[in-house]
Amino acid sequence: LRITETFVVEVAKIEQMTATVKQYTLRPVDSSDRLPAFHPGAYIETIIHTQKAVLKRHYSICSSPAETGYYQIAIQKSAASRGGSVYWHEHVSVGKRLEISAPINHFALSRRARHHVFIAGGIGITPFIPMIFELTGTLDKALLEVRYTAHQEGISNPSNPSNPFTPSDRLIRPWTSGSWELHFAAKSPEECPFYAWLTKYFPENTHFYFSKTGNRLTPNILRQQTIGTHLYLCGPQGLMQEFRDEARRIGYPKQSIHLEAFRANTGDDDAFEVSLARQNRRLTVAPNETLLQALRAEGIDVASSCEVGGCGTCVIGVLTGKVDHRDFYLTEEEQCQNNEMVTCVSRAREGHLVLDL
Amino acid sequence: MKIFQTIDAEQLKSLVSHAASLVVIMDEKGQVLAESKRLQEIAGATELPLSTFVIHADAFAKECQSSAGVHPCGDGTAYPEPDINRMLLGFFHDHAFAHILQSQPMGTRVVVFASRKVAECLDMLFECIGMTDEEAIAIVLDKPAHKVFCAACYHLNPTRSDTYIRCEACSRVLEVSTHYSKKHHAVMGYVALAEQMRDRQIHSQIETCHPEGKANPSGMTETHTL
Repeated sequence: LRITETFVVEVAKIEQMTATVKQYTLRPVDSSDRLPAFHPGAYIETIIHTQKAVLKRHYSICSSPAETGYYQIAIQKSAASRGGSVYWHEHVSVGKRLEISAPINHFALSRRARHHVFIAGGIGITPFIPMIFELTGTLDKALLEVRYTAHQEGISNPSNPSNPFTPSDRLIRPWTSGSWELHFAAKSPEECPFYAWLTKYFPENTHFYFSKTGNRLTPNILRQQTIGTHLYLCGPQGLMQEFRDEARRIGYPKQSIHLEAFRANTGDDDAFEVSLARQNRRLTVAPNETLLQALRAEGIDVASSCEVGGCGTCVIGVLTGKVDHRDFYLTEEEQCQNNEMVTCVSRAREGHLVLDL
Repeated sequence: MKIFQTIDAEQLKSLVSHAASLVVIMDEKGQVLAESKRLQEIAGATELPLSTFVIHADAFAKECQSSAGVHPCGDGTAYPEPDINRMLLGFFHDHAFAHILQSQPMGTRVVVFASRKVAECLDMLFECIGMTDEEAIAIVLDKPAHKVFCAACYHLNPTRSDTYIRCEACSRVLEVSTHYSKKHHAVMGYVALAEQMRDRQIHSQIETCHPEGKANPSGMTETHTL
């Protein structure tokens, strides 16, 4: 995907959610303008021009998909920051103007699922917030409060008094449907963004796991699910890989597992050579480029999408050679078979590779 | 759902080894297939949780056909041709196996032994309950025969031709593509362009699908209206 169109927005509000997480509300510079609509799970690329560099970072939108007057993003100040989150936390204030891309989505809700299981780790909660808005049919946080209060006072839909979000109460027709549950791992309630909001409105759907109290989130919950379940993972790499591998071991179909990866796995980037078996050509991939980029430079068109090893669009066949797999897409078993690779991130482990191209 | 005409013992073993539980669905025809017996033997030997259902789809379809009659208004108006596929889908939806299937754990694999028509209807049901192609396979008796969806009038033409056909509903010449629709279980038939029709060789390739599916030179006898 090529990001061609950008929009200028202004930071309208900054909220400190936890000690390390801030939520930013971004509005169009002309307040009468609207931002592009998006589906839950989408992210935007933010572009900030600093004196030293241009900072381009991807952040999931965590506001309601029905609201296009503004987007909200939540950013965690990371100790391992490459400069982006620190700059946002220390230098971005209300009124700051910046460019953003149109929303991009590699983490969409399945329209086929009967039940959605969300696994979030830390700041990985953000893409799930619009999904919750979507699945509960609520327009925004204010409407949620109105309905919650009505429910508390017993003024709820007579057709289903126990549920304040009955279908007849929906103001928008949801794009997707199904029941849902959220499993959210964080260090403690104080360091858990959206903790108060989730416990207030969705106590029955949300399960918290706080490492400081020794309550660990494990993949055992995957075994309780019935046919028609889709699994969504967003969080630290280790957590996503553990859940993805266990789900595959249990027998979850590949199509039912959705991952959101923002950063490619990194390692030693040595140059390596590849041969294209069907074209009788040979090319070198330089240390500072990916195989995907090298193939494109040679005029070979390989489709791609996320370009961080998460979606599998750019997978190609490997005939011989050992691959250094750095993706989230192939399972452990598939990586061991060594007969395909994700060109946007993976490289040669040793020698050179013969590709089925 | 992946559809096979035959499956060997090794493939059946591999299917069982990766499943958390197994659901086998057979119709009257699929029940007698050797593969269905072999699968049950393999599953029995591995002590895999197994549920087997026999659905009397043929009997149900015949009953539906016989219900087509004359409209009670008395003016001789005929009922429209019953839509067997839709009726079968409703029949499956209310069947006990559909309810049991929905409560099966993730990791369950479904194997269908049936006629192609029944397998296609079951595929629609599986989609409704959120299953993916990886979770179900079908072993069918019938030889593969595709239908061609007319891009002009949306009629589904039964055919075995992979070049050109004449639509039995609107008589346009259609170019048979490889663009497959899972919804219709058919390939797209694009209306042939005037330039193509000037080519005399094409005229010899055009296969005509006869209405009602009778006296069809290709040997097909089915008509489908989805």
